Amino acid sequence: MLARYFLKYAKYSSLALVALAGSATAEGYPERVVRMVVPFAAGGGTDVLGRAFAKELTEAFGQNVIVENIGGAAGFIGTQDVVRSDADGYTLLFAPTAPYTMAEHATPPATYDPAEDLIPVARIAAQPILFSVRSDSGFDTLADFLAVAKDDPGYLSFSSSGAGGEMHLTGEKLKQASGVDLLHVGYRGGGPAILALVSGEVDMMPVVTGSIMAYIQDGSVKALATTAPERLEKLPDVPTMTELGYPEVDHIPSWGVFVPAGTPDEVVAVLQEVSEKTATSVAFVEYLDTLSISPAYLPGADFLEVLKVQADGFGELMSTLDLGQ
Amino acid sequence: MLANLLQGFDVVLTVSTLFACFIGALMGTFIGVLPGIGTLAGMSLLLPLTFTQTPVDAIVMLSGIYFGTMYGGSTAAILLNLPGSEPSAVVCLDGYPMSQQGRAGVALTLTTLASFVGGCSAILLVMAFAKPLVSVALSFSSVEYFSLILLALIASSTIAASSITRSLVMIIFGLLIGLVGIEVQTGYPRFTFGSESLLDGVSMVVVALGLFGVTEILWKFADGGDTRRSPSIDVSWRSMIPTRQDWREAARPIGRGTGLGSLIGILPGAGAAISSFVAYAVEKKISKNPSKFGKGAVEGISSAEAANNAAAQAAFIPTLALGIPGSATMALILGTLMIHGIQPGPRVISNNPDLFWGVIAGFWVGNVILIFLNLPLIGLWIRLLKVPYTILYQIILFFICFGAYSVSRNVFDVLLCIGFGFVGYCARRMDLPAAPVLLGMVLGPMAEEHLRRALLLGRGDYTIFLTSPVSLVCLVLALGTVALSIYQAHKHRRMQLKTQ
Repeated sequence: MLARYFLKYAKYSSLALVALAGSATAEGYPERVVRMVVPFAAGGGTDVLGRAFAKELTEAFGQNVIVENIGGAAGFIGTQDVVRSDADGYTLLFAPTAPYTMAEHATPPATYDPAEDLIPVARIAAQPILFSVRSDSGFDTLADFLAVAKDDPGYLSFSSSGAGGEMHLTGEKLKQASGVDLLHVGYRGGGPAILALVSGEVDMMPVVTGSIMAYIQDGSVKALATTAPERLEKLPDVPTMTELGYPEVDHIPSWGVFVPAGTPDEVVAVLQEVSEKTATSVAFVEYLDTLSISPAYLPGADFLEVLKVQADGFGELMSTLDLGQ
Repeated sequence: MLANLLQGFDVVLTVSTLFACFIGALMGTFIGVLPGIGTLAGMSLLLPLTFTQTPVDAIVMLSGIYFGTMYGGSTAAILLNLPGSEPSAVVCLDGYPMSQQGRAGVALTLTTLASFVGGCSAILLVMAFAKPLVSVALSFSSVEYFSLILLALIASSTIAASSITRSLVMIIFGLLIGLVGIEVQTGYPRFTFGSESLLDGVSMVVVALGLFGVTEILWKFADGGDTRRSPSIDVSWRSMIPTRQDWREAARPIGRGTGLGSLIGILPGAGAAISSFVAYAVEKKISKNPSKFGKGAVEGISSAEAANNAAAQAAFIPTLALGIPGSATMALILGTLMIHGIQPGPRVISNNPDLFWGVIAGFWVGNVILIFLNLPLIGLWIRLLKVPYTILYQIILFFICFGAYSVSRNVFDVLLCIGFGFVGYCARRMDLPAAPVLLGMVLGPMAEEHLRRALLLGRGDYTIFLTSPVSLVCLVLALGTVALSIYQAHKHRRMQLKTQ
């Protein structure tokens, strides 16, 4: 089973290489090794995605794309490093949207201005959030869950990978939209937060598909709703938040490529072209599917619009919470 | 299980896997010897190499690095007082005095063997009790974690040689340093003084390198001793062989360390950091002659090292069985699986039995390779001590700076490390011990995080700590430890008064 994926993966990759070699080198870029900064530790979700993407880029470029992990301060430190790097296309940032959308709203705010200092090249992948509960929790629908929460405000709790993160804010958004009170419990990272859900320490977790799918398939956890605009192929019985009447709870964490502001337009164009071909290649999409991550290519200009809307939404939400005050 | 294991060895005993295992062990040993270049940095460095390997080879190689650094980590601690991780800081306490007494070879031999026994026994545990151990780990909520960590903190507060009061002062100092950074529940940055470098807190490695390594050098030079002469140290092969008495003293501590390490190691997130401290404290507590601890006690290094390696192995249980990493290094192991298209989760073992049993068999092979690799190297390492201090200390300072920098590639950390060196020097002048600082730094924030979370989930009700049996037992034991210490101190004073 696994071997088959790899064979396919390898086959398509080499095809992509042949197809792309011409157009990419025509511009003279890249002539040397490209550095791709992942602003989180090696082995994390963003790192795994970034490395898979870097591998594809390496083959497309015919130049090594080296992943460099510069973690710290929720991705701000690594992003800062990219902002300070030469804007020549030889330093890329592969990151979730948070270092862009949360830069202004975090405490303390990031030392860079994302709108001024970063150019979004392309969105690569996305993972809708699943409002997940334990299978033996007795909740079959989101309505059940919210009804209990309404009767007993603050009785039900949800875990997140940390205060101010996307999962926490999505939980807060649910509270706001449904008018119920839930207790937020923060953990150091997604792993401990999932463990808390599985072990019964908390009642619910807004969690991205890739992190929780294995537990749903295992039968220990079930999803009550998804923030995806349409029902997910792997979970056809799980309704969307729009269906349930909460269209405003629609946040989908996504990952993309950025370069420092000032990078020449031609280079950005090459990067975008290669990103599109890579992100939409059958091999890459299949690889994402094994990890329950959705392909979500979007060109830089459209990605920028999404980022702006998200940043404003977070800003509004953060101002109603007293986070870090 | 035997059939499974044979299947595992069938997977491992191929040229490519054995080679991967060897490379991992070799790299791990060298990375471990260099203080500061932590396990995680070493593994990330070699991660790209694993892309072309099979998943089994990849995990076996990375875990080889992981265990290798555990074996190698005590080397710099014993020889040069340079701890690159929490466990090796504990080994410093008695390992460095042994080295100064000319018994570095013995210390290294014993820690290598303790590592081997601890590691190999814990693998057995992993295999036999994976399922029940996981349910124990799952049954621990923040309530139990808090009480357990509190017990560990109180029980270990006696690790330093000096008085309890002096230890407490330094534990509190460590607790305060541990508070620096973003608070988990609110996201509020504490004691960061607006500096981005402090948002993620102060690295334990930076503090340990400063308080132990830099302080030692400052001390040697400020002391005005003859620093030019190279110490007369016996580096013959015979000097490496522990005496019969050493063996006798080490055997039981190794056994106890292994047991404690295996138990604590299965708890995700607690693991290796606590186990060495606790194992060391237990040995000191039950020793008939606790005053020799801190002056080169064989029991101290043996139990701490066995516990550390047992915990390192046991940490794989929650990682592989639940798909939940207990530490950053374990997260990297799971990330590697994902890179190979394997979704970590509760079904990893049942979906990939070849992988699981192959990796388990690989652990054993790795430990055997490591012991054959490390024993001959000891002769080489102790020759380092022949280098004259004036040259050796410059090299050490270089490695300290390099190690501190490599933690998060930040020059700020290097300055911080040197700053802690001066703090350590002043503390030593005032006869304040350094080890409790690390204890407070490691356990304090963990205790706080779990306390806050437990109270949050318990809606502010403090009785939750008494209604959970595990928590209650831990708290009673903690209270008992305090009472015992007071009683002992009291008795000691009465004895002193009598003799006067």
